[in-house]
Amino acid sequence: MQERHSTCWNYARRKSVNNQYALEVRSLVKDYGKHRAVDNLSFSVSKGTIFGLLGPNGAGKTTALECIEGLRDRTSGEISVLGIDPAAHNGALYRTIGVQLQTSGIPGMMTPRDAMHFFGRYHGIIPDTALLDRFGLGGKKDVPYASLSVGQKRRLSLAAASAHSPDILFLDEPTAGLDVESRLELHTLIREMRDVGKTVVMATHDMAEAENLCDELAIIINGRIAVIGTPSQVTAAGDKRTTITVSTENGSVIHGKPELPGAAQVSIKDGYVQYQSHDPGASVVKLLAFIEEQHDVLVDLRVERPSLEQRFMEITKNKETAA
Amino acid sequence: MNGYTFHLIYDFKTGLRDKSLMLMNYLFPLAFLAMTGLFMAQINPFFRELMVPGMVIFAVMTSALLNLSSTMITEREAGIYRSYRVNGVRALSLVTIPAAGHLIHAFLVSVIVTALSIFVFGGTAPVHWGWFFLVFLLVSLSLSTFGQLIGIVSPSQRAGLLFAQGLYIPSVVLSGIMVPQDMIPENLNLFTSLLPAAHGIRGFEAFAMGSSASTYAGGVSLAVLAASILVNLVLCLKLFQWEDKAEVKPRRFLALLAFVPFLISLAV
Repeated sequence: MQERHSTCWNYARRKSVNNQYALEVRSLVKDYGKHRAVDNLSFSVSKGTIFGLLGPNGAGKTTALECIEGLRDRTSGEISVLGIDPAAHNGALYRTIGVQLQTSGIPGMMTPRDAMHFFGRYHGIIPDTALLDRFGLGGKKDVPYASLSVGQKRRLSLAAASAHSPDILFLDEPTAGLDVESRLELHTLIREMRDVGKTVVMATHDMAEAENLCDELAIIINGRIAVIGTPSQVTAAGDKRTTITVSTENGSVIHGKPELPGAAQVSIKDGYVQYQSHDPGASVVKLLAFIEEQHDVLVDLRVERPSLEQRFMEITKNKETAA
Repeated sequence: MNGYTFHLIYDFKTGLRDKSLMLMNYLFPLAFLAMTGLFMAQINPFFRELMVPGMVIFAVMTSALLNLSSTMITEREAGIYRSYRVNGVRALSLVTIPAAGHLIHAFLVSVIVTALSIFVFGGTAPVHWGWFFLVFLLVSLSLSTFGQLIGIVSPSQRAGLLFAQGLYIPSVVLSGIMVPQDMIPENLNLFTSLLPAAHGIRGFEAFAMGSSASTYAGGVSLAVLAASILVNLVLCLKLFQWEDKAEVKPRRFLALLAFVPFLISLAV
């Protein structure tokens, strides 16, 4: 076997596919007996982007990913991963993609150094264990997998998945169970992969993660795509009310109850009054004028557009109501 | 070094690093040898003639049936096979590498067992070492592929232990590794002939130990062991599962085909 050397971040492209999409899924259906887990799913992922599959537990994200990764046979539909049909060309697929599964399956006695060699050599490369330094595992190279923390295990599985410089990476809940710091570190690593031309497809139910990380995302409910687009597009497509939160020194907005155009007061808590407004600009101008009229002093003012999480809750609620 | 070779070396090293594997590969068979060497030879003088082949088969069988099957089930249940699969590891590697790794451990422990049996406990030394090695090879591979088949078709650790013990305990008692086969009641012959260990003993006696045992029967036993290796490997590959929650349930009853070569031997 001819061996290739992998350098730390030398993600030179090994093949060129004359297609703007790294992944194309058309009318994907997956049935488990009578239960339809994935129902007519269609989407495309452009090369060099981070694409997120979002949805509540049991929505079909992992099943869809596993069909794409060739781990499950699809019931019907078409899948093309860099021009490869996962059902037909399993071997070729695994040389091209990197996969981080939801649960990392590495033998307990295997050290990170062993894992890099083990998986790397099956991909036909001599892995650069310096990659472990990049993933913050430099001091843990010879520690058995079973002794690593959850975050270290996650980072090792991501390092192993990217050791052979795959063109496309599939990550299933990559930051599940991680603390804030580890999650941010992983986000940085994932962005760096995208920045060197890799395509990343990730399943997550962490809305903040998807909003910060993904260039494009799809929300899946009951096996179907409920909405797809950039995080801004997805958020903007829903309830357009902006949340305005205000606090003053003398509590004039609590006692005075100002009339704000296109806004409704939704809560008062800990000296803060919260409004939802269809016209945030006009509402804020009116609110500031009211505070000045009352000879009060502004302490805190926050204007927040609807978050992806709120949009997600809205979609989920609508779907449940429709069902 | 390619992935297969690295995997094989890793598998071998794990057999030494992992305490429970180490126990079943080496320590338990050696402790059993010490116990039987000290006491069995006093109770049953014929045991000295059986000691080398019997204890070699015992050591090989313990690691093959009790270690290999449970390791396979553990790895499948922990999702390790799925990780292997998405990294391009083939089912053929996962079937052949544990068998090859087991063979190396079996060889090492057999060398120790043979030396201790002869030089410490007064066991009879083999006369034909070449035949001894050939029979060892066949019986080791037959038992390791049986162990793997059990690991592959067992839906859980509990079932795996049950199936493995179902072959292991009768083999210890009836295959002739503790008492000579001609002392075992004739009405158990049919059952005894289904045990790979019994054919191993017949092979050792006929070709390696210089006894008066029938070379025809020994030859049939070696052919049965060789055939069982092939049948088991085919069944392992056919029934191999990457994960526990496989959508298409494997036809586990097909594993019983592993006994076909042994059944045929009854008619020969």
